[in-house]
Amino acid sequence: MPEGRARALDSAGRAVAEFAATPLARKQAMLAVLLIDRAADALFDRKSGDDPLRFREALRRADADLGLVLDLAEMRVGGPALVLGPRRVGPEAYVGLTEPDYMVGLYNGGRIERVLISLADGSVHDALPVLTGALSALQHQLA
Amino acid sequence: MGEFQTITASDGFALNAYVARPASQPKGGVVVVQEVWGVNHWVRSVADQYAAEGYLAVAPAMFDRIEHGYQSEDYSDRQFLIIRPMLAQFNADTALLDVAAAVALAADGGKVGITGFCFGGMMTWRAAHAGLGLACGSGYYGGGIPNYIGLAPTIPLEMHFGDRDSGIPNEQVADLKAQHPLVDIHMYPAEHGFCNADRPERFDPAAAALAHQRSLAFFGQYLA
Repeated sequence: MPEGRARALDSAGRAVAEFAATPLARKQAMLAVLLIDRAADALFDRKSGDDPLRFREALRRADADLGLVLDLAEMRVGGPALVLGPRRVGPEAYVGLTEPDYMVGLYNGGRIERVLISLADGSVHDALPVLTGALSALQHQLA
Repeated sequence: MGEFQTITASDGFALNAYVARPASQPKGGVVVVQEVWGVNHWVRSVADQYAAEGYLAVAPAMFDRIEHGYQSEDYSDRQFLIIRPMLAQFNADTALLDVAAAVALAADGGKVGITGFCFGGMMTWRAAHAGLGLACGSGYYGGGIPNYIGLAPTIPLEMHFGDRDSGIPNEQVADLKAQHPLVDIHMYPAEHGFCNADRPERFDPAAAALAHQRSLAFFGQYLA
């Protein structure tokens, strides 16, 4: 793998890992979004065709999570946005939360805060699985 | 060293409270609100510390309405299996009655301030909104900011948060500061629970000492 691609993918992977460790940090999520976007651009070369925009469009179509992350990185007015918002979690979801997250949820009626992706249609998605999925899609492209 | 005694809320509910008295004439009263482990060793030590500083300190057992006499030194995950169903029954309105009962007792020492940690930090904010005869408050890392950011404090208030808190987003602390510019909000390079000396993995002596000094200065200013 060319060194530039490997470095870009590695940076994106580290950013996603850091976001997983700090799941309440919207800035960290945005950093991961931008580094995934940069890694996607780094995948393009002459063998991919001669139109980088068309290449990005193909990546977008190939994987929904990656498509959403590329949309986020474009920061269009009315496009998807990273927001901080509540998630209600049941007892089973407490597995895997940090202790402070767990504890704060306990005395707030099972409500925890999460970085979410808000779409124009009003739907929201947890940011972490989307970013993880997008990263996996890029790694799959390189495999 | 203090001792437990029974206090009675305005609705007639009798609850335990740990009461620590200073060696000489109190210079005020301080209500200390617990974390989710009840009025355990560390919470009692905080009350004792305020008594040593000259305040009549009262730590009400906030979960007595759910399980009378509850307290635990078990900070492991196992304890959360016990705490979770208890907190499902928690009622913030009756909790404020219990805080008010503690304020009434602490008022024997003069003007009363309130402090609290985690769950108690959240209750400190709610008490500062309700008033309850308090003169000021100094709360620590109260979680669930979106649930109390709309409750404007009616007394002087300061809050302390750690910037590595994985239960409270820094962004929400910034929102709290922006919405309530008169509240002194201090951030420390520390984790959630950084004051708890019984938890070495979370305890940050430097941050805890600075925050406590700030609380003492705040109480000194408003309880004199």
